[in-house]
Amino acid sequence: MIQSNLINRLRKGEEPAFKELVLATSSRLMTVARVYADSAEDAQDVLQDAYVICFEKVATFSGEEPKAFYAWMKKITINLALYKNRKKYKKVETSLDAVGMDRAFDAQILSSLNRKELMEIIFSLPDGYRQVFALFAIEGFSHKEIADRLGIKASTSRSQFLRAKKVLQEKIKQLEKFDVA
Amino acid sequence: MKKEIKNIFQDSFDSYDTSVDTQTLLAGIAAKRKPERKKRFFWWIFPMGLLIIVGAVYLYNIAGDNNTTAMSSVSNSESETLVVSIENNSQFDSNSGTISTSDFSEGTIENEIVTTPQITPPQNNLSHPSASHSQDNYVISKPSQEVKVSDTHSIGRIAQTQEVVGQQKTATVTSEIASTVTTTTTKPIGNSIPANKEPQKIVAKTLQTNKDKREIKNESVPESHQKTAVVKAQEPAAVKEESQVIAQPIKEDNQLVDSEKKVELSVKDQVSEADKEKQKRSGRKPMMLKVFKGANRSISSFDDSSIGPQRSAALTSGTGYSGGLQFSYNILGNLSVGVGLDYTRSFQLFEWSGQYVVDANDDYVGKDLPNSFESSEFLFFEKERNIYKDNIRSFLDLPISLSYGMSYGKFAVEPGLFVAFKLAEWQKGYSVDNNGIPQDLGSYTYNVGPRMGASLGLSYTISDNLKLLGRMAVSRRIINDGIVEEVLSLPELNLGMGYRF
Repeated sequence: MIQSNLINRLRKGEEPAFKELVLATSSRLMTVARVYADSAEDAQDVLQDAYVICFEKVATFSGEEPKAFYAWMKKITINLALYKNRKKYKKVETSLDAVGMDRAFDAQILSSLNRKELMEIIFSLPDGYRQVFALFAIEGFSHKEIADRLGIKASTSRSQFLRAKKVLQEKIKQLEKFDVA
Repeated sequence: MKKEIKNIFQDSFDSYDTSVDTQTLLAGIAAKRKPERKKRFFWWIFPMGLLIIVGAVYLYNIAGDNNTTAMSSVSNSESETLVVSIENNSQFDSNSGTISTSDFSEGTIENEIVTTPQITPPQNNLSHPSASHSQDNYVISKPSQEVKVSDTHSIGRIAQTQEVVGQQKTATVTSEIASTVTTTTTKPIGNSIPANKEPQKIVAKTLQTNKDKREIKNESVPESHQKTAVVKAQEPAAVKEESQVIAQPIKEDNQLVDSEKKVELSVKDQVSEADKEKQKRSGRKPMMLKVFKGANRSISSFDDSSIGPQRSAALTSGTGYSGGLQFSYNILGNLSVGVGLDYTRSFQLFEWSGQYVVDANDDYVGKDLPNSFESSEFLFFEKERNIYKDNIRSFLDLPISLSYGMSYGKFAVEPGLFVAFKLAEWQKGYSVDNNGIPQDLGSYTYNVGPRMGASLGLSYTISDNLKLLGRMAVSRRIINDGIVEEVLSLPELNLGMGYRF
């Protein structure tokens, strides 16, 4: 994805390298932005901002590995997306009691879905649910950490995650029915 | 959540490509990126400074040559001489105007190649406008500055020719002396010798055995017709040699007896003047190394557009210090050009109160974050902060100055103008971004312009080489970060020492 010499070229400020970086990473980072941002338009905006920061701060990146560089860019994208939506998280706070149940995913069903289907389901999650779900299920943060980052209570993070799971399961179930039909 | 399910989501997430309109994305990125810092290369400053110094030295030498050539030519037997057209023994090269004086029977300038005065073709008039003795067969040519004939000093390149044409004799005396030679005609010459006279044998003799005085007589003519040239050569200061040429035209029978002309090339006068000039210059000792150290006050002003007022409100004028060294070179009269290095460090208080958010690297992210985003490794820190800190700015400049010195005894006043080109800069502290939120100065890219200013120097001469210096200067420089233009004014007061060498 990212060529090994690209980082050094970026540090040198070579303009073509920036374009190469955008072409090489934008589709993946757009996925990240799409998950954490409020909308597709916001995702585009977040991605632009993320690249601007990458360009300006590339000199501060001390690593050499392309994977580490991508992880750094991904982190910037997530930060920006969450920052832009920070005020919305409170609004979608719901208590665990409101959810009322915790249904488990069926790994077999999930694995039967292709990536596009799975991501489309994630994208379709309501704001707040989607971010908490992604932070918990994909990034691996604890609810305490998610609460710290989003400025919500840990219990709220937990409840949102459970609600997100429920919504996902319902969507997956619908997809299964659609497939069967 | 089960690990297996997590992996399914993670794999999907990490490998899923969302279609992106890259052209739109690139256009959006380009629009949001800060203007690129203009790369200005100041490497040419060094050769330019060197060129100025070399040029100044060259100009100085040129000016010095005008004053010292005569002195050196007089002191150097190769360039100061008296040449008489000699019929027999002398080796004369009419092209180069040189003659070997080995044939002189007497004297101490044997075997010396002489170049001036030159033997020139007979001329019957005085070519210099100030010379009015055409009937005397004296030619003064190539004057460059001023000519003194009959008590008029001549500074310039002078070729003085005396041509005497008589029966079997022709005597031509040409004196070509460099720029500072003074030619004095002390006595009027009589009528010219008829042109139909045959050349006359002339024997040049060195009558004195020392270099200070040489007299050449034309022995083949009666005593009263003798042509006498007395050369007194004086080298200024070092050699202490006087040069004086007194040429008497050959008196031709009844025609020239009544008239007598002596041309006195009074190098002595000229030399003494040149010597004075040299001493004057020596007293100035054109090259001076100045070392300064002082204090400054840094005042920033912004325009009213954009965030200028916010920055102006956040930034308070402060004090700093400056120092530098300068090579000053006296190029012409009281005019000096200087080049050197200036280091300026200024402190300005940055005062700001409010709330803002930074990321884990303490980089500003935004403001007005209502909830805590504290984290040690990820995302944001919301900070309620009062910033009260000195912004530190340092610049290393290469100043090029032009100043005019006026002496009053041991004191001197030296007003001047200078422009200082930035060689390096260091900036640490805060600024205010478009939202009025503090930003690290390092997050900005700057276009720092040259510092231009005026100075007033005061000096007190401690010794011949040493001076106590004071300098007041006011300078301004424009700093542009692509958002707003800042004018940084730096009044400063410096004390220092100067050493002439």
